[in-house]
Amino acid sequence: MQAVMAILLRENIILKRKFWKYLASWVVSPLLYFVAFGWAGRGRMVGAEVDYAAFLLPGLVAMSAMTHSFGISTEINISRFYWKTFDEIRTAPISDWVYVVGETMSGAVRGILAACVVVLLGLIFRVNFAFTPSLLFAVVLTALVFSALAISTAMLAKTHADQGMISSFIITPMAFLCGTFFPLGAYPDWLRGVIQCLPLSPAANLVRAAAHHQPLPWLQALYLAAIGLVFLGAAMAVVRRAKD
Amino acid sequence: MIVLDNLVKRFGAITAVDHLSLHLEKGKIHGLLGPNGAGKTTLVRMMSTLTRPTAGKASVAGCDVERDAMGVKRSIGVVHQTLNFDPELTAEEALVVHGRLHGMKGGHLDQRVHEMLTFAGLEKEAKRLVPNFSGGMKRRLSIARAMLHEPEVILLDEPSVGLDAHARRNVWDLVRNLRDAGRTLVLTTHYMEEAQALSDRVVIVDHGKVIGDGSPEALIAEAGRVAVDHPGPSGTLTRFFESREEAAHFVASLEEPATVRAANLEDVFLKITGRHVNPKEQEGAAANASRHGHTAARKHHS
Repeated sequence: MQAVMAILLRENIILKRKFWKYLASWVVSPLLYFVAFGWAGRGRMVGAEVDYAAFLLPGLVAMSAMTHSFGISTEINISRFYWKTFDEIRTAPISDWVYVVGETMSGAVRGILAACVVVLLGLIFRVNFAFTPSLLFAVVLTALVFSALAISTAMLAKTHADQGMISSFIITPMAFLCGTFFPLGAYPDWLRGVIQCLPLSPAANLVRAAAHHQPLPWLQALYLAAIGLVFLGAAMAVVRRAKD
Repeated sequence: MIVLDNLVKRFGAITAVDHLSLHLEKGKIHGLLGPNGAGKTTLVRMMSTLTRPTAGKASVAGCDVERDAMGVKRSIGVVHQTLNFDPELTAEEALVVHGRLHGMKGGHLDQRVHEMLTFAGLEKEAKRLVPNFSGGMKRRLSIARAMLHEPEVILLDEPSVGLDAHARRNVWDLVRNLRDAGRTLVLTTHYMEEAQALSDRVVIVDHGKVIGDGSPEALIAEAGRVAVDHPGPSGTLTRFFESREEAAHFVASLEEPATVRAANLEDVFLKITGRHVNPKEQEGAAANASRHGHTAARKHHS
């Protein structure tokens, strides 16, 4: 556990030193989405049970948790390819799972903080939004799942440019398709089935249910947790392989 | 302390280390000397568990690098060729993180961090961010970091590459201090001067094989203590002699000017392989010798 804390300590020092840059990145995208889709488009959505801003905000919370916890992959790749600090960790007497758990937690911290910033934006814009323990659970689970995914992809990338491509193929489509901005009802059945399997869909559903005082969809929570475990396993495998 | 037995590492069609066997003793500085691409870094990476051997066995401090990688990691400190520090960390933080990764904590860790910063002459720089350090300071910090958890074996991969002469001497002093403190050191270098100045034992590596092994003095004596550089049909030629008298005899028979000098490890490599360890540096040295060495040789023989 002490070694996990060492990984966390390192990442948290980095987070502390770059906090204002991170904060800016946590604010800008959700703010733009909120102004463009939430404010400008307020009340225009057909078929939603709540005000569009109240629909959008939980989606943005889930999306921010996903995007910024996945962002740890960039930090890892900069460490590997540019600063070469990965070798320093590889020669320390720590097991692969310690590294994976430490980095997953570090990524999750970033994702949770980014999600909190979006919630604060919701407060500023006076969006109808419930702060419940379920919401915290949904955000933490989402952040952990995408952080674990980030470790796998970071280790699979051969160059830093690869990481950008991986993000484009995995994160960007989910951000726009998985019920963040619009309900899934508009999609054809076959496409909706595919989208519902993507991890951001259950994440957005969890956050949305928690934010609107609805019962949590526990099956979806279990599904998301299972995906997280698969990502953790994959991360362990690729970290082991990354030795050479 | 370190046993390499028939070690092989292949990267696709390239054989970086080719059935190499070595037994490195405790408490000495072992210099692995060879040109770039000789396989030195691959050897160090295998000793430090970063790279898996394709075949053969390697053990460090009694621990097999494959079966007991964790034991190896507990026994080694590594000074990587690249100055690998997180730019957001201060010198002190870099050491604290390293210490925690090695299971150190509390007052003991604080004390060791202070001791190592003092050892590296960086105690006043503890709170400075590492990117603000010079190359020499980063290298000293890298050695301090490798020493922090008190490993038995220290692996230094090209520890003075990119440093100026003053910083290089500082690093050499640190390395000697580590040997005097009873550590076992393995040092890769392509600087023959560094290998000669620091090593108790030099292992010359080329194309992944050991082509020379012994103390610097013994290797030089084997090649011939005195070297004569003289012009040949396709550039500078070097001949080796047991004594200055024999060399003087040879120079007297030449029509062209020649340089007589003490042989060094570069010459040992040259004699074994017919090539220089550092061809570019050698070209520069030869040009210098032909500009300044001519008179010296003539004076010597007049």
